[in-house]
Amino acid sequence: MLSTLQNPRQAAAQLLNFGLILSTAFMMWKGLSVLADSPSPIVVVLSGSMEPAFQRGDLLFLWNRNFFEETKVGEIVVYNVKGKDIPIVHRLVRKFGVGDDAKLLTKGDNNVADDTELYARGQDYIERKDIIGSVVAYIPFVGYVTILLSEHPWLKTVMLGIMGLVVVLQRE
Amino acid sequence: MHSTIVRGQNVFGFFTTVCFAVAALIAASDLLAPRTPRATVAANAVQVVKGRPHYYSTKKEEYAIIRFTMNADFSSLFTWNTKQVFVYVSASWPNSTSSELTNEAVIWDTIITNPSADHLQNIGPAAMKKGRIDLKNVKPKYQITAPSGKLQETDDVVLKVHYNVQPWVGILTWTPQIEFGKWKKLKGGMSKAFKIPAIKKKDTPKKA
Amino acid sequence: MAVSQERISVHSLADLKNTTDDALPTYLNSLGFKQSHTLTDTRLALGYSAFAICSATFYWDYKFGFENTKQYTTIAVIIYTILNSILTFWIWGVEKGTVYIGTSKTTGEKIQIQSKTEKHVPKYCLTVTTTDKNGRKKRKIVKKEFKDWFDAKGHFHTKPFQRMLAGSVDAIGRADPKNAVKEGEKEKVVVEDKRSMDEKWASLLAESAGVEENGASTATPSKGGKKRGKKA
Repeated sequence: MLSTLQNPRQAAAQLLNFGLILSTAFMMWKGLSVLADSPSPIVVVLSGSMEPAFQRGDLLFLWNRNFFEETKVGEIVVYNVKGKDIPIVHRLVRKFGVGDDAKLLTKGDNNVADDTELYARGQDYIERKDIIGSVVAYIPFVGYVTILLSEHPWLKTVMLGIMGLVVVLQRE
Repeated sequence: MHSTIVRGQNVFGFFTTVCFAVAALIAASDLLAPRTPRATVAANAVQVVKGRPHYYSTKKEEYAIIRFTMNADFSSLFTWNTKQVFVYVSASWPNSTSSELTNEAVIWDTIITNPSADHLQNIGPAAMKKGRIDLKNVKPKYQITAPSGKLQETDDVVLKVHYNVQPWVGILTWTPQIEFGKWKKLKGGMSKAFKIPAIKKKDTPKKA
Repeated sequence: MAVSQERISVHSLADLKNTTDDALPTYLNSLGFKQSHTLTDTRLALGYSAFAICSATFYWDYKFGFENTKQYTTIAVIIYTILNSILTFWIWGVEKGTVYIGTSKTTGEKIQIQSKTEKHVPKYCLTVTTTDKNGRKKRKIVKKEFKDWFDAKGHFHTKPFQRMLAGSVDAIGRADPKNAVKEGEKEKVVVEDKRSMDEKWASLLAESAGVEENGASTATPSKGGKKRGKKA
C-alpha cells in the first residue's frame, strides 16, 4: 500500500497511528510511575533469594507512597544500593526510628544472613530514600521472557530477524 | 493482511486476554474467603550478651536473646490461591524520647507453604503445614541489637505476631489494621510489655 | 487506471474497506468536489500534540531521571490523557468514520460520506449526508457488497465502484451523469449485454481510461467490439 503514502495527510495519519501506539504505551508506564511514585513500578524478579515466595521471572507491582502508615517491618521492598545497578527485592526485618532517617535492615527469605554484606562499604542500614517501592501485587512467570532475552543475547537477534521477516512478508 | 501471521497474533492476543481475566478472577476470589486468624505470644526468658556484629569488627554490641512461647492458628489463610504464608514475630520498643513503638526487629520467622506448593520447599514440621503453630519457650532465630549498640534495660518491649499472605496471583496481604469485609483482624497476637534486663542476667520478664 | 496494480487480500475486511475508502476522495475530487480536510487536520493536530508531549517526557526522563522530573511528568501524563480522550471523542463522536467531506463547485451542494463495515459481513456501508445550498439535509444509507468492485484476485476496479456511487447518491450522479446508472437500468443493461465477463472488463477498462469521451450509454456490443479492436 505504498501508493497511499503519496497523500501527505494519509501518510501523516499512518505515521501517527504508529506513533500513538508507542507513546501511549510509554505514557501508561509513566502514568503508573507517577501514581506509584516509583521510577520502576513493575519489576521482574532476577534472583532466588526470596524463594519460595518469588521465583525468577515473576512480575512484581510496586507502590512507593505512604498514605496511611510508614513502610514497616515485614514488607517486601525493592531498594537500590549506591554503586550497584540492579535493584534488590528483599524483606524488611528491622527498623529503628521513624521518618526519612529511620535505619532499615533487609533480608532475603531464602538467605541465611541479612543484607549488611550487600550494602555499600561501611553501610550498615538503608534509608527510606533507597527504596523504590514495596511489593503489593504479584503475577507469576510473566517476566521470564526478559530474563531469557538478557541472558541469551542471541535470542534478541532471532527475534529481530523474525520481526524483520514478518515485515518483509507482509509487504507481499 | 489477513494472513497466517494476523491469525496467529489474534489467537495469541485472545489467549493472553483470557489468561489475565482468569488470573484477575482468581485474585478477586481471595476476598470471598473469610480470614479469622488468631495468635497468642509471650516472652519467656530474656538475656543480653555482648558480641561483635561480625568476626573482624572491633565494635562490641549488646544482643538481646528473647525466648518466647507462641500458639497460633493461621489455617483460615490457606485457600486455593495461597502460595505461602510468611509468619514472623517481632519485638518493638519505644525511643527514649517518645512512647511510640518506633523500633521493630524480627526475632523469629517461618514460611508455611501451601500443601500444593510443598514441592518448592519443605520448611518446618508437618504439623505446621495447616497453619497451626505451637511453640513453647523456643530460642529466637535472630538475636537483635540496636544501631546504638545499647539494648539492656530497655522498657516497654512487646512481641507481636504478624503474617504475610503470598498468593499464586494477585495482591499480597499483611496483618490488617482494620477489618475488611470477610477479613478479620488478627485475634490477639501481642504480648504483654516487658523489660530487657541488664547484661548477663537471666531474668523472667516482669510486667512493666 | 481502472484496475489497481496492487492486490489486496480479499479475505481481509479491513483491507477491502481501506482500499475503497482511499479510492473515494480521488473519484469525488475528480468530479469537481472541493474536499474539506478540517476533520482530518484537527485529528492530526490533536494526535501530534499528544505525541510531542510524549517525546518531551521521554527526553527529560532520559536526561534528568525520574525523581528530578516527576512533577513535569505528572503534568505531561495528565495533558496526554486529556488530549488522547479528546482525540478518541473526535474519532468516535465527530468523525464517525467520515471518509469524505466536500462541496460541489458547480451546484454548491455539500456532501459528507461516512463508511463502516460490520464484522464478518463483506458489505460496504455508507452514510451519505448531502446539504444543498438552502441548508436542507438529506441522509441516505448505501450498503453494497465489496465483490461488486473487487475481483477474486483482490484487484480494485474503478468503474463499477464509480457507478455504484454515482448510481446510488443523487449528488454524485448529477456531477457524473455518465456513471449515474440507476439500479434498475443497470440490471437491464446487464441482461441485454450478452458479452462475456472478460469483454465487459475490457470495455470498462477502455472507457475509464478515457479512450471514449462521448459514450453516455455504457455498453452496446458493437462499441465494445470496437474498443477491443483498438486495444489489440
